[in-house]
Amino acid sequence: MNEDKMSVRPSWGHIDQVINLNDDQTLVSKEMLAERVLIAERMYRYGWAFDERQIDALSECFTESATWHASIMGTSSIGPFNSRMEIMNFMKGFWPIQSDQRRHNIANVIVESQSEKTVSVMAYLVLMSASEQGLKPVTTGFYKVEMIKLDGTWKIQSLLVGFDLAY
Amino acid sequence: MPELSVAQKPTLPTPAWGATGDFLQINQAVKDLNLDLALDRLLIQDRIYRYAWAFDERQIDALNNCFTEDAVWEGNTQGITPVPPFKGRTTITDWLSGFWANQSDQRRHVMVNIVIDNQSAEKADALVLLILTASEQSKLEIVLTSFYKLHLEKESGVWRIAHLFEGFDVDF
Repeated sequence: MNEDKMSVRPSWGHIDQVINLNDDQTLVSKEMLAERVLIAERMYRYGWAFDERQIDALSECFTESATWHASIMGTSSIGPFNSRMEIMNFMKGFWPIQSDQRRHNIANVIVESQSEKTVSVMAYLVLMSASEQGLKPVTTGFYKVEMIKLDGTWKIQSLLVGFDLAY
Repeated sequence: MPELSVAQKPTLPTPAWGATGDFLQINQAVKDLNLDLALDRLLIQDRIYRYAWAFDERQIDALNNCFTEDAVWEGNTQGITPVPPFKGRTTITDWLSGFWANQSDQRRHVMVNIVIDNQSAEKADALVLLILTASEQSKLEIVLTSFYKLHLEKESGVWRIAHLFEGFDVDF
């Protein structure tokens, strides 16, 4: 068998059962629907905070006991990091060694299940890099995120990022 | 007929080919949107994103549910080459899922710049931009950009695509 072909697995998230889309839209109350504006915004704020290297804003995205881990096409993992402090130490560790301007473009945010205080969210990532060498796409992937509402604010309780490429 | 020199040959796509070719129209922004319609816009966006997710994660049931039973899918490349209309949910998703066996890369349909027009409690039109990426081995490339012009209908509280037109900026 061709080894290259083995390593390419379109829809790997679904094949590995990391992603299993609801078959259809779920109906929720108007109040819960309105919450989705803030839920999506939490995802965008995560992108902003990392790219603009604002540790307080990044820290605020997570609960104190949050977990973060990454999968690269289901073949290797990074993490998990099991607390806000561990996550922050891991993330800010990139900043001194990344000399380019990263932009985490977060798109296609959908809600898979939702209650008054909890929500399961998925989103796409298109990671871009700008430097003296020009602009280049770094990787794409998806986020699978569980959030909880604490004191009126949606925060990330667990985050899995699935990268389509090693980078 | 004399052959055109390289300098004389029109380049494709002609910028703004969607509007100049009458494939799309940018309408004025809506005034005083009421709360119910505003909330419905979230579900309309959700449907558009789910279409992308379902195709990219190759989940045929989720893809089927994006469309009404009598939906139509059609397109055009650069205003020049029509993509024939596919009529009916099953015909559409048979055609779409037929690409999966030939696409060995991880596609991501990234949907942005959604605007919604002609919205009522049960119907809406939407314009969407697409950036289509493909990852394979250690390479990520942008495959194409395009626009979608959609007509959606609400069935039992759920928004579905009744008509989809995709305008491709490059050949695919």
